[in-house]
Amino acid sequence: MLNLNFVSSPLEQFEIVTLIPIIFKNLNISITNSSLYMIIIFVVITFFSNLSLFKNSLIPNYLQFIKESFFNLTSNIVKDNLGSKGEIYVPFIFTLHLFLFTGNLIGMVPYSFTITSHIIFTFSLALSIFIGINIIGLKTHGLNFFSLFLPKGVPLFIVPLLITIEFLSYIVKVFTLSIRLFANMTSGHTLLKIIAGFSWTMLKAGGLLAILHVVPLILLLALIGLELAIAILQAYVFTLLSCIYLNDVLDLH
Amino acid sequence: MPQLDFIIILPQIFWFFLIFISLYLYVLHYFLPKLIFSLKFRKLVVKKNNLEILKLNSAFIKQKKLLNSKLIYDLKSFKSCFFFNLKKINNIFIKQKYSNPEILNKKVLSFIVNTNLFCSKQILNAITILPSHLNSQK
Repeated sequence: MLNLNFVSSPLEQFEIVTLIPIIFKNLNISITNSSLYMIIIFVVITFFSNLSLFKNSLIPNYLQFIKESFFNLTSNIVKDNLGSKGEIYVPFIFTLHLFLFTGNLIGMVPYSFTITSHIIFTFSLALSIFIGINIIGLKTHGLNFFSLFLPKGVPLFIVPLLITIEFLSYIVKVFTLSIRLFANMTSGHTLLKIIAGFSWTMLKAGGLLAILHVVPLILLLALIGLELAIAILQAYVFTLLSCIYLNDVLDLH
Repeated sequence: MPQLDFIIILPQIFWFFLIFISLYLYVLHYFLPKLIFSLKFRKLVVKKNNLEILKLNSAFIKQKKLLNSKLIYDLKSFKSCFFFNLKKINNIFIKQKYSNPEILNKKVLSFIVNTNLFCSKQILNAITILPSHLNSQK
């Protein structure tokens, strides 16, 4: 009974457990707890959006106002970075922002699972965005798209070195985008788990330490506030950077 | 580290794409039209109100201009009435060579005094006139 919730390592919270195994033509596409949480995110978003827009009034009530201000936030990101030609991309950026925002916040609930704390998830997201941006760039500019790697006004003998550096930094953008989100989420949750483990161990030890177990708890409270802010901020930063990369490609600097 | 197991790649990617695409379609077809409708409607209301204000303002300014022009016309006719007679009086004085302003002032003053004493209806009505035998008995 005492060891019911006892986990041996702080990284065990990120394990993916298969809930309903589905094997389709030798491919494993079972429903894991990660997929379950993605479905929960979808249900939460549709539930909240339907509730707030049921009586769509001219002067909004509170829930509709929250949704409208969230939409205004995302729309401002697109407008500031892409200008008027970016209106086509607003639904996609809005979906991205909403998905990451809700995913990060649901992971803050105790004992739940953060889908963005997996490198495969963030990497596939960043890679698909990167491939999409490249296709958009190639379609708008044709072969002129590769002039992205050569800034203006460069003396001729530096050109090969500069092209290599620009190309590498372009490729690394995918990795930084995904690893930023993944590392922030993983480290935050691991830290919370470790400090909660400290507090629990101190309480179990008894004596003076049992009274002092409040100290890690207060630290944990502050850290949860910080983690909440980081969760919201990382979702915002991901969408902002995607918009900036899209603008870079559409304008060629 | 559980994130780096290879067995979990395909379920994650598959379900991620499925859920994300369905969410995108839901947002595009249901959520955003409703949300943007109220935002756009508000802007439309503000624009319509501004147009109304502009119309009312222009009508008001037109009326004001009309009133002003009428007023100026009437005042001008008034002024011409006055100064037309004043010109006649000026001509009389110049003909009689009263270019000295002191004599002119004296004449105008005597004129005013005499008209107020002897030609004013109110003063004449206030004087009681009695027959002579009643006067001598006083």
